[in-house]
Amino acid sequence: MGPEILLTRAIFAAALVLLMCGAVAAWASNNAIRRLAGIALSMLGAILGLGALGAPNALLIAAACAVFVQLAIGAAVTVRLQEDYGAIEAPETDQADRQDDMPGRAP
Amino acid sequence: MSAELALLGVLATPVLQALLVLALQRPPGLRDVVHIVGALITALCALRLVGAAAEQESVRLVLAQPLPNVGLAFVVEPLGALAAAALSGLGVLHAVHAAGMVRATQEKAPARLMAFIALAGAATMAVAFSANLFTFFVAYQALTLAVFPLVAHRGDEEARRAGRTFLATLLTASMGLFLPAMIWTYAIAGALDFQPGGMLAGKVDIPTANILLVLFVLGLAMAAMPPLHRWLPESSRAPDPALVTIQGLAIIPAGGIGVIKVAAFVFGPALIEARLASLALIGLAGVGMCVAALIALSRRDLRERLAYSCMAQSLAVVMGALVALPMGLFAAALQIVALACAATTLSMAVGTSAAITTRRNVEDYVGLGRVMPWTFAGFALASASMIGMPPFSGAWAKLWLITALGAPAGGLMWAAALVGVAAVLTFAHLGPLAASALSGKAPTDAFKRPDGASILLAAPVILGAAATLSLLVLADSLARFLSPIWNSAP
Amino acid sequence: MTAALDLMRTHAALLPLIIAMVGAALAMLCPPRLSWGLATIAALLCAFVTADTTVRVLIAAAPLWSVAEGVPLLADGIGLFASPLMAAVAALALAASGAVLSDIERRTWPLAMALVLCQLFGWLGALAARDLAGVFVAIETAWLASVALLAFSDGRTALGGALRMLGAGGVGSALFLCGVGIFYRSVGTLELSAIATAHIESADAAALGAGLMLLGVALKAGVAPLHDWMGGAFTRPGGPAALVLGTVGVIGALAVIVRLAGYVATSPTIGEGVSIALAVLGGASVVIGSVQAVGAHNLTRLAAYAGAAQAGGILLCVALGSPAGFAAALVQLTALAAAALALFGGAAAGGVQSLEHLDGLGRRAPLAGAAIMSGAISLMGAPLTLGFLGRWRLVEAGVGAGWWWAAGAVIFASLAGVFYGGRLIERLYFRRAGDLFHGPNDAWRWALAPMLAASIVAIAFGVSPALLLTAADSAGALMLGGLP
Repeated sequence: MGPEILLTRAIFAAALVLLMCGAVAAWASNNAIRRLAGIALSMLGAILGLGALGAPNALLIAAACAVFVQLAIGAAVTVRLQEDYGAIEAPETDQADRQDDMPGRAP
Repeated sequence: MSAELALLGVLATPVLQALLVLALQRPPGLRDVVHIVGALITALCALRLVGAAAEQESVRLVLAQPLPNVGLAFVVEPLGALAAAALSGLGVLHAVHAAGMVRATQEKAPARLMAFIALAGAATMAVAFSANLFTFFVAYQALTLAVFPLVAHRGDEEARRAGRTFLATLLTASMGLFLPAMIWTYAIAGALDFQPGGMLAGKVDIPTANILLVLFVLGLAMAAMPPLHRWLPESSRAPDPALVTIQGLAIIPAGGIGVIKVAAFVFGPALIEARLASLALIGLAGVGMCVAALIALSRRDLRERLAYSCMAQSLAVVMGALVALPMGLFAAALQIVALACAATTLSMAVGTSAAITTRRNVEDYVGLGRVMPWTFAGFALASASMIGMPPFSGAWAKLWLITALGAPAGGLMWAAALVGVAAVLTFAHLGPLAASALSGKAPTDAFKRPDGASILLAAPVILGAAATLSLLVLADSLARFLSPIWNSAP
Repeated sequence: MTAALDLMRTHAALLPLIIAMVGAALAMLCPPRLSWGLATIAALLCAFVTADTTVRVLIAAAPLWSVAEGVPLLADGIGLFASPLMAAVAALALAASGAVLSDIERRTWPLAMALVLCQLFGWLGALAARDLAGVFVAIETAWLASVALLAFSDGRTALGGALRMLGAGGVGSALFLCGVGIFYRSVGTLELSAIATAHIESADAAALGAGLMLLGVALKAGVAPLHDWMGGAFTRPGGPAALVLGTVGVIGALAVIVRLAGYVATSPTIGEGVSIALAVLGGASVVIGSVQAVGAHNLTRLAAYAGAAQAGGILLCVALGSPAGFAAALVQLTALAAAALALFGGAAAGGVQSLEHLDGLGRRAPLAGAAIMSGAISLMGAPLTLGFLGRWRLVEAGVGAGWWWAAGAVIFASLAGVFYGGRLIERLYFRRAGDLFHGPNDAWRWALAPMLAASIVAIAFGVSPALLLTAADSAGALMLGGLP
């Protein structure tokens, strides 16, 4: 096993670790910013992995674009959350939604 | 009228009748006439089909082709024709009785009640004439869905709970047990068409046959096999006309027809392979019969008592069908007719007396026959048939059943004994009741209204009771008529 | 006229995509109501163009043309079958959204309409893309458009759900990309049509890559247990976002899974591994989706969970990897589309949020009641409905391959269907109406009628499905026949 292959594998392993850590944060975090950071991290891991595995450039560019759009939409949503609720934590916004529902129409 | 047209008529007339009843709710007279005429046309079509079956005409109707090699198809064969004729003939009496009942009880939604009774009739006809397992399954589900509104008719919490039990038991059993059995059969036989001689004959090994039989029979929860019988007593608080449909004209007979069709047309000689399962099921049915008759004895409310009594009778059909002898199939077919006549008459009589006197409890029946002689004469005759006293229909069916079980080829003396015990218990819960109603001292304040029962309420009961005598004259010719079921040659 | 038709047929591969994109751009520029009309017309045009091709190739057995548009497109059996279905669902959902647009701010209507067309563009693109990079881009387009639609059109309550969707979708994208990388490393190509003939260095790695790709899309299709985001996304009942997401989004993602699986699950070297993964995921989805649907108290969520159970059935079909399996998957996909249209349309028509709002709806809104009922009985798998047909085909294909447990899963789904479907029907027709009717009450509510009527007709199609079966069978055969 040459050093190059070893390096590739090491990079790929690091990419996987990044992906997994990011995925956990993106999936389970209550905080909007942390969720976005998770998305960015996991996509970064995926792109790094693609690079290490020698994927075509077109795919890398597509992935980078996707990450950009995801973060843009995520940022817009976060800003609106902050504007509408004054909070970006899921429990707080859920609480506010429940309060909205109470005096309104029947559940 | 061509036989094909009659077959279409027997299936479509009740549907049309239901729609017309809903459309012509007012005036009530018109609605009732439509309801009765519809039932009459259905019965005439069914009679025509009995003729066709007797002459062994090949009559087939394919309504749709939902799967590439399985159609929604109906075919005229002796068992279906006999059951359809009996049920639709009694259906006419029931239609007249229902017209009287909705007036006497001032029913709030009479058109809906009648419409679903008619739809249940259509589905029962479809069950009887189904040409393959798929069509049977479709018709069975349709019957369940058509009767559900009857069970839940009153709309209060109790009725809704009964409706849920009814729907959940019947649908779960058919989807969870019958459907897998049907799929399995399809995988083995490559087809689903009912055929005399059995579609599984020669194609199935012993373990598979045993499992399949259990799945089929328990999946047909309409036959009230324990432990899937809870729906029957639960639904006994439905309005009286609906009870006639459930116990006498649609659900229980459809379960019986299903078991016979499975035994004769799916298994045929392959029932021998499933000996273990059939013995177990016969045992379960026999014990169930006795226990049901015993529970009936403990019920004070006539509707519940009749529900258990009908369950016992229905289990006799299962026993007959599973003996794996032509005699057993014949007994089962006769038992369906006998059960339909007796249960319809009894529940109509109970309905009449409840509508006129508001009495429903056993102890309130004493002497009631003195003031309602026709109704209680019918009640007594139908009870005698249910018990199995000669010369009524029930006697012939029970006789053949006991002969089949006790025959050397059947070799099930213990099962025959169970049938006998059940008959004694049936006598215990119906005989003294009828006797005290006819012989007790007449109550003075029996009637809600002074004029008593109208002809619409009394006549169907007495005619239904007369029908229980039918097998006395017909038994021999029926044996010839039904013989194609167990003779595999076409 | 004939010349125009010929021109259309020459460019049939690219035309739907162009119509959707141009339609989206125009809808953005139009005044609110006009944008709704324009978007609906654009989707209808897409449906027409794709259906024309499908009928010619799958039913009249015309030869499949070779695409020479200068863009990387590839027509195959599953793409041909699913594209018109997709476009028709989108057209009906767009038309129906006219009734519930008033739920959202008027100035966002054009944006919402454009985003729906973007979704259609994305899913159609993913069904026609020639290589995995194209599939990725197309899926991202569709997915992000649906997230944006939810976030920007449904008031503040939907923001949390949109963020959850975004997070789950991001994970899905990362998994997909990772899978594509591993797959490329061992197969050496991203071209879908080259997979069957490619020299595969490491079958295990290739299967892992394919599995990750499918997992990434399954996450977006709401396949249980990866459908965590659905609960948040379907909080509001009638809004256009739930309507479109529950129909277009789910059907699109599932169609893409079926198409991808058509290339990877049928490959002789890696097929077995992919099959096992799909079967496990499918079985889990059937069970979990059914159980959750039984426990659901909200109609749109119930529909989404029941959809997950159906999606599990589709994965099971696909896992078989045979032409019969793919044909069964396509029939089930059609059945799911019809049921989703019925339930989501019915929920929008009745303004139904919790199941209590269904009480007596059958009398107040007969068409919506009939649609929900037919959706429910189709989900139960009642015979003579499209739902039964799909399950029957699965059982037939499964038993043919010796997969008895697949029949078990189907029966489990049907039994659960009896419970949640029966509950819906009981509430619709056997309860007294509650206090208030929450559904749209103006003349625009009629915009829902085509969707509801189409779903009822489609479900009733189960009575005589010869045409559908022919199309599905030839799609399955074409998909696998193209392989050596």
